Amino acid sequence: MSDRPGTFDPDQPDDETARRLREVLSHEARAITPSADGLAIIREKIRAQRGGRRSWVRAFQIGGAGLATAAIAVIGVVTVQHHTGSNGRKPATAASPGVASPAPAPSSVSALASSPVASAPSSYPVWVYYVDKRKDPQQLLFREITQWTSSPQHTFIKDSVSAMLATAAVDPDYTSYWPAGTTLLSANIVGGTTAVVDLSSDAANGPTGEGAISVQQLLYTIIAGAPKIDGLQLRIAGTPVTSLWGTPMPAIIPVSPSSQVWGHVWITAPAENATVASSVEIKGEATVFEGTVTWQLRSNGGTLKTGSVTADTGAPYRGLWSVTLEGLAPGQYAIRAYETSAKDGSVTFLDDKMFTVE
Amino acid sequence: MLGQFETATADEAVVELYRAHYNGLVRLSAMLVGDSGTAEEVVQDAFVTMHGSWHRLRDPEKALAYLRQAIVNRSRSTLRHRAVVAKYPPAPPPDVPSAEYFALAHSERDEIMAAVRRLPRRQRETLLLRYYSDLSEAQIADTLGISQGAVKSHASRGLAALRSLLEKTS
Repeated sequence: MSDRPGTFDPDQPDDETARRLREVLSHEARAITPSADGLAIIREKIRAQRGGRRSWVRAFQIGGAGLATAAIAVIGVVTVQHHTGSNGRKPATAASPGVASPAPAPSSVSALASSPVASAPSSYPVWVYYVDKRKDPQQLLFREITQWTSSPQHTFIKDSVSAMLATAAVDPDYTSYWPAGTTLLSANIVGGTTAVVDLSSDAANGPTGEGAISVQQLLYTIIAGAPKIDGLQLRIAGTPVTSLWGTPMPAIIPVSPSSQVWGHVWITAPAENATVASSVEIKGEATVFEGTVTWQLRSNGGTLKTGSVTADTGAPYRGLWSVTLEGLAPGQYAIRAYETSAKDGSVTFLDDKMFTVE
Repeated sequence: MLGQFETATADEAVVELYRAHYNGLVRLSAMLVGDSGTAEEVVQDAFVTMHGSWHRLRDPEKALAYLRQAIVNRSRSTLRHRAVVAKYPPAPPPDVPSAEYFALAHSERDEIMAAVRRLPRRQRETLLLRYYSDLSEAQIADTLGISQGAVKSHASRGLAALRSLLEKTS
């Protein structure tokens, strides 16, 4: 077997074998489509651990023994925090956090691990879906992260739906047709996969024709917190809904595939109105032909730069893409990303974000 | 944005790292264990323990290194546990492809992937981390818990095995 140490030097160009291997691995990787609900599952698992329902032994199975020991220590702290922060149980344990935490974390690091035992409930990032106002070419869903203070029960469905009903989208192109004042009366899960959501009577009077997409908005917001959900029984003031804003609804409303109801191109960073440095990474997701996303950087109504980028997977799968823009002068910018129509070259499935360079 | 990230909570770190790396990590794990369902579980569990260790990691680079380490280790023990029912049967030496293997391979791409799967574990891990995840020699050493010299040697041997396969088939 020949041993050519030079083949691994990162400063050397790949040899032919390495180049082909790179191509093959990249091709193989593109055939693997991670599910869209991974984050929700991770959150659910973290929550289960906090609640102590799951064995912490799992932590030992990953990483070295030293890592595992540290992980156990922290999980202990997290559990204490949540029991006191969210529902007031176990005050005696919580009063002596030093017992659970042999290695206190610096205070700036993590509210979960280090904040003193407080009565204020913890807040955490929640994904909320909104409907695009542009109808470009049809109404689709977009997502924002919002910081939400957890409910006393600390349940993801309640938190997510309440966040959706109470929080307006930051991006002015997104909206929610759920009428102002609508509140969540109750949320439960039946049969493991169906959410039963009861909304206040305000929910009954939304704009005609927007029922179908709004129900998917509600469903995906629920799924972001509770990944096993695939259907919804919707009630308004306790009465099962058979039609919403003029659109008939089945008793159990199934979730539509994300490929049908999510915006084909999303910009996920920077967030709308974010302030960034002169070098900024634009990140997004896309379900577009061959993964080709076109982008434009605009300022003062003019286009400064334009280009295209290939998402790591093409349609029908959802790929991730990113573009790094460097040397931007201070000022206000808009980044637009879209799919160029194969038919006529027009802009379709547009998403755009305003941001400021300091 | 980086500044915000440095002071992020464990929850925010999970979200950020998920957005940036989940797909790549699942794909890496899937190529290590051979199926994407298991790979997703492996990666999700790694995120959960990373969340628990955030007080110690505190920065996204360290957290990412921790995730990679956890995923490689976990993928490895998954493979060990199901060796009996493995989708890919135990490998003959990499430079002696079996007759069945050639009968099953549909293209050079399949052949290369099959050969990668049959490499000794460390060589396979090293090649995936180098040529799929694009890690540096130092990062790979850190991920696998071996010296940089060992990384160099595993990479050269793995590539040499693939090279001899390509020379035979081209």
